[in-house]
Amino acid sequence: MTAFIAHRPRPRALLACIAAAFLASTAALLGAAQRDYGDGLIRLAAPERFTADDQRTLDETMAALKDVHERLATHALSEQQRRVMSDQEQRYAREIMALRDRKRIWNEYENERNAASAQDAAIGRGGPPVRAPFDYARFYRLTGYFNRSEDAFRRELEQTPNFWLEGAGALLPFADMPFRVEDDAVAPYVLRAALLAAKCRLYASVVSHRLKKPKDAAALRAQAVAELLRIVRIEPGGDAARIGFLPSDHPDAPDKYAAFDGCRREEHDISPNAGAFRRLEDPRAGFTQAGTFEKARELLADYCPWGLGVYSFLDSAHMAELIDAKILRPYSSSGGDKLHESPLRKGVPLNIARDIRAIAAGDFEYRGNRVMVEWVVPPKATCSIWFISPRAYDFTAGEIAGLVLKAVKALKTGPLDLLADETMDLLLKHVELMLGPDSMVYGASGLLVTANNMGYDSDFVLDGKPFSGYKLVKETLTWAISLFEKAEAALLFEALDPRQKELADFSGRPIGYDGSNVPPIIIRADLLGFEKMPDHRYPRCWHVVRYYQLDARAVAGVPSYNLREHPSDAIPGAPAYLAGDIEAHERTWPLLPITPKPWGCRAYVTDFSPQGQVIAIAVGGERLDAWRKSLAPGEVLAAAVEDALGNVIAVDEMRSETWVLALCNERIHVENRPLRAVVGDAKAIERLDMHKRYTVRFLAAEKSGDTLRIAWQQDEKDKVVVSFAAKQGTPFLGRLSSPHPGWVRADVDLVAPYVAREDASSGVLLPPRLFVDGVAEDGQQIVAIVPGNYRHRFRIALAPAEPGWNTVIVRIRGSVYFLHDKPGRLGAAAVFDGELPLLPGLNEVKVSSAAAAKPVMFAVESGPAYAREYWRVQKEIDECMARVGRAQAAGDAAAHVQALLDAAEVCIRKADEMNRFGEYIDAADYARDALKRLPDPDDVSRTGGRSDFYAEECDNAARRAAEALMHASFGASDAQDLYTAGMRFFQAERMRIESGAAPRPSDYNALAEKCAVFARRCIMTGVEPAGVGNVVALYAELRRRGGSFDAEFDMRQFRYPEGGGR
Amino acid sequence: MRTLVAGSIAILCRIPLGAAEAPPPALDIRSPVKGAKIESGVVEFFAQLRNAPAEKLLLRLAVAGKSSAGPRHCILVDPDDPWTAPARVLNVFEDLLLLTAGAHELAVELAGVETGKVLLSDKIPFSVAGPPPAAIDRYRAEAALSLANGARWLRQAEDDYARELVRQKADGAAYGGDAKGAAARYLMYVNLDFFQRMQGYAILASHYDRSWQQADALACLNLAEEILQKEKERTVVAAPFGAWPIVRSPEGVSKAPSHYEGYARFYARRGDLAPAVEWLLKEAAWYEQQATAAPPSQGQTTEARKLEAESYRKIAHLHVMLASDLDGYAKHIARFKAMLPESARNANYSSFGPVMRAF
Repeated sequence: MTAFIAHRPRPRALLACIAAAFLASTAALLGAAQRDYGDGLIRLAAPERFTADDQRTLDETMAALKDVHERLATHALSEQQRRVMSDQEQRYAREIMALRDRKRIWNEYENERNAASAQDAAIGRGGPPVRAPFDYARFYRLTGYFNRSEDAFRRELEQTPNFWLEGAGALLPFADMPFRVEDDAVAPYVLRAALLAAKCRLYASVVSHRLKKPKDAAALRAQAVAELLRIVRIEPGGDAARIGFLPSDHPDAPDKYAAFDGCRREEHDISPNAGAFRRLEDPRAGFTQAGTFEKARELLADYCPWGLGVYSFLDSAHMAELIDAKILRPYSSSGGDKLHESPLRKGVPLNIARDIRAIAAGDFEYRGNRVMVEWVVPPKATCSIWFISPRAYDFTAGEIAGLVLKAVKALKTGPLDLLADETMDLLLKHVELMLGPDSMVYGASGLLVTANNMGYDSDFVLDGKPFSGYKLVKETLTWAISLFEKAEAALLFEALDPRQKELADFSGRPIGYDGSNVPPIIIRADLLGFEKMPDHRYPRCWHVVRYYQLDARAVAGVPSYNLREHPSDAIPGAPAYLAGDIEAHERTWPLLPITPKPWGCRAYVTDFSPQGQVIAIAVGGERLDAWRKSLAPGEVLAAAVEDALGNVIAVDEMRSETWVLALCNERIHVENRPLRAVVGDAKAIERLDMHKRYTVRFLAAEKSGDTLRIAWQQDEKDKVVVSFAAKQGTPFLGRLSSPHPGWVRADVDLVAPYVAREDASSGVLLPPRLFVDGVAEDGQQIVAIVPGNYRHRFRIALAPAEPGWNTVIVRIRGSVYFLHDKPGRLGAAAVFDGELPLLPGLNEVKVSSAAAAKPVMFAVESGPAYAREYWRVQKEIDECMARVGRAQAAGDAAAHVQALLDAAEVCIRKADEMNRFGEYIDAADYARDALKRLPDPDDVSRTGGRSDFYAEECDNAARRAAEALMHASFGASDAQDLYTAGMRFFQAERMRIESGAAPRPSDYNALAEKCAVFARRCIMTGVEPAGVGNVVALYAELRRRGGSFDAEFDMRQFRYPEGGGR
Repeated sequence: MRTLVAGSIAILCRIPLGAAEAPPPALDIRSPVKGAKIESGVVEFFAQLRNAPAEKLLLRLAVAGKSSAGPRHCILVDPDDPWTAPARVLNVFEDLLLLTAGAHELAVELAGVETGKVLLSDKIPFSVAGPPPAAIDRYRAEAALSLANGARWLRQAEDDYARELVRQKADGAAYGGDAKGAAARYLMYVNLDFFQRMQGYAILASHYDRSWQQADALACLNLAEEILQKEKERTVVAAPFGAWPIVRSPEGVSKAPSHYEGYARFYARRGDLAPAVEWLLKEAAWYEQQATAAPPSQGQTTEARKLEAESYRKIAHLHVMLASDLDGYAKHIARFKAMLPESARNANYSSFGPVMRAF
C-alpha cells in the first residue's frame, strides 16, 4: 500500500502535511484551544482560527480527491489498487468535510463578532467587547435543576439525549462568557457552567448508549471531552486555583450545605444498588465540594482514559469506531466489560502487515531465531484489536480469573471464530487428504520453545480424542485449536495486566488526566497454517500469535506520556503514521517484549500424531506352524519393524499367534502412558516421530539370552505393511480401533491369503519432485556467475505435475518470485523458466512448490558487492539543492527548474548504477527520490520561452526514473512498484514514439520486446492477474501497431493463471 | 546389479573331448554370482556361451527355494537366427526370474534339442533380499527425470519455434531463419515428450516389480496406457506440417510406448504367456502403423520394419522361455525372418534378449 501511494504524483511529504492539517482540524473541531478575547479575556467556546494555510490544504485535498476520482473512473486497476485508492478517496473526503466544517464554524464566529463590533460602533461604544452581567440567580436555578436531573440519571430513569442537550444549551450562555483568570469574580461560575454543560453532553452520550445509538454516543462523548479539556488547560496554579470552587456564601446560593453544584464528591460506582449512591440520597450527609478542575480531570479519565489526542489518532486510523463504550465506567451500571475485542479488518498497521507477510512466506523471526516453515497453503492472518477497561487497575486477585476467562471467551468467539470461518474448510480438506476419511486424529500441542520446529515443549498435551467421519473432524480440530489457548491465556493475562512491571516499563507507564494509569490497547495477529509434512508423517498445525501495544508516546511525540502534567492533545507522531511511514507504524505499535516472558510472540505447534500406536498382527495357526517348522535349531521367529523411512526400529520375538507392539509418542510424559491398560505385557518402544506406516517382517532369528540376532539373508516368512492412515478410496489393511483416548490400534490378520495384501496399491506411485538445471540432487551446488552479472536464468521442472496450473516459488535472499506453468497433459512435467535478479555475493536460493514435498535449496554466486560512495552523490544533490535555493531567492525560474532537473539527474544516474550492481533497494530509493525532485508543472510554466524545453526535459527525466524504478523493484520483488513504475514508463515511451513525425513499426516492435520482458517480470513478481492482463494487452497492442501480432504465438510466452490460480 | 559388476566368479564347464577338431563349448555365468545376496526381487541371468555347436541348443534355468520350487525357463540358442549366427561367442540374458526373498539355488543345464544330450550343467546358490527401502526414492527420481526431460526438451523446442515464427512475422522478407526446421523439431519433441511420459511410468513399474510391489507396478503400467489412450488421437498444428498426430515424429520412427514391453515382462515374470504375447503384438502393430502411415521415407520404413520384426522375435523366444513351445517359436521366428529388412540382418539389437551376438 505504501508503495502504491508512493507512486502518486503527490509525494509522501505532502500526504503527511495533509494528514497533519486534517488532524489539527479534527482536534480543532473537537474544540482543542481557548482564545484570548479582548483584553486578557478567555472565551471557552471560541473556535479554532481557519488560516490561509488551512485554505491551501483544503484546495490541495480537493484537487487530490478529483485526481483519485479520475483514476478510479478511467484506469484499469487491479482489485488491490482499487481498494487502496478507495480508502484514499474516503480519507480525502473526510479531510475535506472536516476542513469545510471548521471553515464554516470560524466564518460564523467571525461574522458574529464583526456584527457585534459594528453594532457597538454604531451605538458609539467601540473598544474591546464588554460582557453582559452574570445572572447568578438563574445560574443557581439551573444547577439545582441539573442536580435533580442528575439524580434521575443515576437512578436510570427514562431520559432522552435531547433532554440533556437542552440542558447543555441552557448552560451555554454562562459557559461562553468571557472571563479573566486573575481577579475576576465570575470566573468560578463560568468554569463551573462549562463543566456542567460538558457533563450534560456526557450524560446525553450515556443515554444514547443506553438507547443503542453508539455513533451518537461516541460523537457526544468526543465533544464533551473536548470541552472538558479546554477547562483543564486553563488551570492556574497557587491561589488562583480557587477559581475552581464556587463561593459558598454567595447570596443567591440556595443552600450552603447542599452545594448543588454538580461537583459532589462521589464514588465511581453509580449503580443504584451501590452504597455510595444510597448515601447520596441524603442531602444533609455532609457533601464536600470538589474543584471544577479536579472534577474535569476525573471525567476525562472516565470518559476518555487514553487522552483526546490519542483518541483523535485512533479515530483517523479507523480504530476508534471499534471501541465499545461498555468498557468505560460510566456506560455500564453492572460492572461493565473488562475487555473488548473487535476484528481489525482495515487499517492494520504496516509493521504488523509486514510481519504477517513474513510468516505467511514461511520465513520469519521467532524469539531472535530464524524459522523456516514450508506451508501447505500460506496461512491467512486475522487481526483483532483489544481495548482494556480502565477497571483493569481496580481488580482484586479474584477478579483476575474473570479477566482471563473473558480473554479466553473472547478468543473463542473472536479470533478463533474468524480463523474457523476463514481457514477451517481448507484445514479440514487437508486433514482429510492427509489421513483419509476413516482415520483417527489426536493432538499433542505445545509452545514452540526453539526455532527448530522439532523442539516444542511437550509438557502441555491434549487429552486426545478419537473420531471418525467428517463432522467430528471439525469438532476435534476446533477443540484442539481452542484447547491450547488455555496455555495461551496464562501468558495472555500477563500481557493484558497493566500492572506487570516489565510491561509497564515497556509502555512507559502512561498517566491519565487524573493521575490514573492509561489502559493499554493491544492488536493481536493470529495465523494458523499446516506445515507441509512428508507423506508418512501426521499433519502438523502451527498457530502463531503476535501482540502489539499502542505506544502513546510515539503518537504524542513525547518521551513520557503524562496527561496530568501536560494535558495536550497534540499528536505530532500521527501525520507520518497516516502518510504510511512504516517506521512511524513500528514506533506506534511495537511488538510486546519477548523477555523475560514471551508476551510478544508465541507459536503453538499442534502435531496431530496419536499419543501411541499399537500394532497387532495375528498369524493363522497353520501358517505359524509352517514357519516354525522351517526354523533351524537355535532359531526363533522374530518380527522386525521398519518405519516408513526403512529404519529398523524394533525386533521382537513372536511367541504366540498374535504379536503386539506398542509405540509410545516420546513427547508424551511417561506418566501419561497407559501401557498396561492398552497392551498389557507386550513390548513397547518410544518414538519421537510417529509415522503413518510401518513395515513388519517376520524372519528367523538366532536367540542368545535376551538378544535376538537377525540374519537378513535368511528366508523371510512374510511381510506386512501396517497403515494407520488410509488414502482416499483405498481401504485399510486390517481394522483400526482406539483402545484408550489418544491411542490407535491397527489389527492385521494374516490368516487371509498372502496374495490379498498384494492387490492394494500404496497409492503414491510417483510423488512430484523438483529438478533445477545445474543443481545436483543434494542441492549443494554453487552456480558461479560471471562477475558483473547480477541475473541468473533459472530452469526448473516439477515432475509429475497436475495438468492445470502449477506454481513454483523461488526465494532469493529476501525476495520471492513466482513461476507458473500449465502442462495440460496427463502425467507430464511442468517446466518453469525465468531470469531472476541476484544480489551481490552468495545468494541462497530456495525453490519450492505446494506439490513437491521437498524444496530444492542451493546457492548462486554473483558479482562482488558494490563499493558504496554515497557521500559523493549526496554532495552533488546538496549542491543542486543549494542552487535551487539561490535561484528561488533570485527569482530565476529557469535556474530553479534546471537545478531541480540536475538533482533528479544525479539520482537517476545513481539509481542506474545501483541497478547494475544489484543494489536494488538503494536503486529504488534513488529512483523515487528522482521522481520527487522533479519540478512542478507550475514552476516549468514560469520559465517563459523555455517552458517547452523544460517540460520535455521533465518528461524525459520522469520516464528514465520510472525505468530505473521498474528495474529496481523487480530486483526487490516489489510487485506494486514494478507494475506502477513500468506502466508509467511504457505509457511515456509510447507517447514519445507517437508524438514523433511518423511512428515506425520497428519502433513499436522494439518497445513490444521490452514490454514482453516487463510482462514476464510482472508475472514472476506476483503482480495481480488483472494487472498482468493490462501489461499483456499493452504488449499485444504494441505488436499490432508494429504490424506483426500473432495471437497464438505472441501469447505463448506469458504463462500465468489468468483467473488467479496461485 | 552390483552383483553383476562385483567380482563375478566364472564357471567354466567343459565337456569331454568328443570331436577333436571343434573346441568344446563353455558357459561363463556372470550373474547370479555364487553366494551373492541380490537386492532385487527379479534376478537377472547373464552368461557368455563360447564355441556353441551348430545345432539348436536349450539352456534350461530352474530355480528352487529351500522349501519350494521356483520358475523354470528355457532359452533357445538357434543357429538359424540371423541375429545370433554365425557367432563364436553369444551373450545369453534374461530378466524374467521373479523370486521371493530368501535362499535359492539356480540349476543351469545346456542340452541339444535334437539329441537331448546334456552338454554341461551347474548349480549356483544365492539369496534374494529385495531392494533396500531407500532404493525406491532413487527409482522414483529416475522416473520423474524421464518426465522432466521430455517436458524440458519440448519447452525449448516450443520456444524456439514460437520465436522463429514471431521473428519471421516481424522481419518479413528479410527473415533468414529456419521456421520449417524449428517446426519439425517442435513436433519431434511433442512426440518425444509423449514417449518419455509413458517410459517414465514403465521404468517405475519395472522397479516396483523388483520390489515385490505388484499392485504399484500394475498401476504404473495402467497409467502409461491411460496416457496413450487419452492422447493417441491428439494432433498438434505446426506450419507447414498442418495438424500432425503426436504418435508420429517428423524426424524418424516413433518408438513404441515402453509400457507395451513393460506389460509383457510383467506377465512373463508370472509365467503368463498369453497376455505377454498380446502386448508384444500391440508393439508390432504400432511399428506396422509407423511403416505404412504416409509419408515415411524409405529409411523410416526400413527402421519400422526392423523394429516390428524384433517384436515377433521377442514373441518367438517367449514361447520357448515360458512354455518350451518350439512350434510357437518356429511360427513367430519365421515371421521375424520374413519381415526383417536385408539391411538389418546384422543389426543384432534387442533389449529383450535372450540371445545376442557378442562382440
